[in-house]
Amino acid sequence: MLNHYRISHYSHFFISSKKEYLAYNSRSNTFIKLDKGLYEFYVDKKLNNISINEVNDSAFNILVKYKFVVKKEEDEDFLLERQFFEDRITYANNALSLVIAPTLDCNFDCQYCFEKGKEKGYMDKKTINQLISFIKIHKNIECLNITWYGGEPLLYTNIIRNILELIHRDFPEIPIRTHSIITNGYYFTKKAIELFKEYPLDSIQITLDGRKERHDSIRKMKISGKGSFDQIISNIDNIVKELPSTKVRIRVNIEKKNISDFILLKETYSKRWNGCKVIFYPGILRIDNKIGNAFSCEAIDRLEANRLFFDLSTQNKIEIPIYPKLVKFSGCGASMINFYVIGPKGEIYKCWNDVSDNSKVIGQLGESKLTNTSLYYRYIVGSKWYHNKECIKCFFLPICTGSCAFYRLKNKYSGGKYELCQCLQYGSDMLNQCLEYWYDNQYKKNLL
Amino acid sequence: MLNNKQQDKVVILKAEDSFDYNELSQVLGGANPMECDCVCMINCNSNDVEPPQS
Repeated sequence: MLNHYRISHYSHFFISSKKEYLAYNSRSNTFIKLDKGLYEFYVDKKLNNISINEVNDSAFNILVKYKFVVKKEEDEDFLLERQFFEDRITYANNALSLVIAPTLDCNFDCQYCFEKGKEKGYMDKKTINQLISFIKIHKNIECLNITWYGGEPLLYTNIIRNILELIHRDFPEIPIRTHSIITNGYYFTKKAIELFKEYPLDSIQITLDGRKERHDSIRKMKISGKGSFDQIISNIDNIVKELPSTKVRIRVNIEKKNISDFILLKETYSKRWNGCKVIFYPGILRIDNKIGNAFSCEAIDRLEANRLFFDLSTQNKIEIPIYPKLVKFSGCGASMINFYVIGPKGEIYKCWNDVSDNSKVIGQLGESKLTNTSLYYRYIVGSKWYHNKECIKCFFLPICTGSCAFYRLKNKYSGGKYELCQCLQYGSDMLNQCLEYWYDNQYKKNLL
Repeated sequence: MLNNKQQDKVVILKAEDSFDYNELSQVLGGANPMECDCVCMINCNSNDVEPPQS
């Protein structure tokens, strides 16, 4: 008996601007060129939802192998497979990821800071010991991921040192797999450099709010009002010299008004730090509207961001991969069981956007049970793609890195109307443009 | 039904190897928090935005 096949939901056919007949499958992330007759044959099958009889020829076999043509229930089975592996990662317990905020205090006074109502103070010894006990509870872990966060964590390098010493003393058999810090960079001075020579970092994230004038008008010192740009640049000079193995990720915040700042800073400072592990990337500012339920018009939306990245890439302003990538896990740390954000008073959060918001505390170090299990379950279970009808039926699912759990919960439980989809579905021609650009500029050039 | 003339009329431009979920053992138990999509990090297509080293 012949097997009946059909065109996969994940298959996309299009004719390029140069009249080439192309097809892309998001499930296998495969891109092919077809003969015109073959193209028309399959497009007709897709448009009219006509089943296809199995045939023993090479073209058909290729289309089956790369999932352009599938058996009747294969697409549905793929969704089950994706969910299975999503859950397998979500509930794995062989690593513990901790984002630790030694303080919520900060030396800067940025207007847009989302940590509203944050209190001064720092993590005391009792809390530090509770943190160590918290790690001990996780008996199955084989490694740790540590990220220092704040407020500004480098206000208290002594606390960072203390915690790292205790971790190395009490868990000598558990390696720190990734070690990173998110800092404004101002206090990345000799003392911090000496600390991280002893306890090396994989990466440092430092944010610039655009070119010097704009940065200094936003990221100014809380007390003196003085700008911080020059000091941060000087500190990065020292970091790349003293910590050459550490990747420095410079996030340049942009909104509609200052897109050119990213290009200016990247071009200027890439030369200055040529050969060093410095990465510039545009940070798309998420600015809420006045009601606080959606992004404002000042913010660059998802579609504009995709267009921007495409333009920057095709102008060689930034090295962004144009070709899609398969994704194995569409969640984030907040949607995994062994990921916690620890505040300076020992309060536990799931997402670092929640830090300083008392209503988002899910538990407390030193206590045996979580205090806000509803929020815990919402992040871990409720934020999953398979609870979202649009995601389940989305062509882009296999290549989607997932949307932000924080905003997804705002949409689901707090009347939010945030546009979250990160893929290309709202720019109908963007996928075609990306694929065609890749074909013309990378595939064809490699043939020469 | 396809006829013989239509054979070999497919050119593979790019294909990924089959999805090897055994690789998952490397990521089980926690994605690197630095890859998390959040306000403080790369917050749009985090996997795609980060360029290779400058």
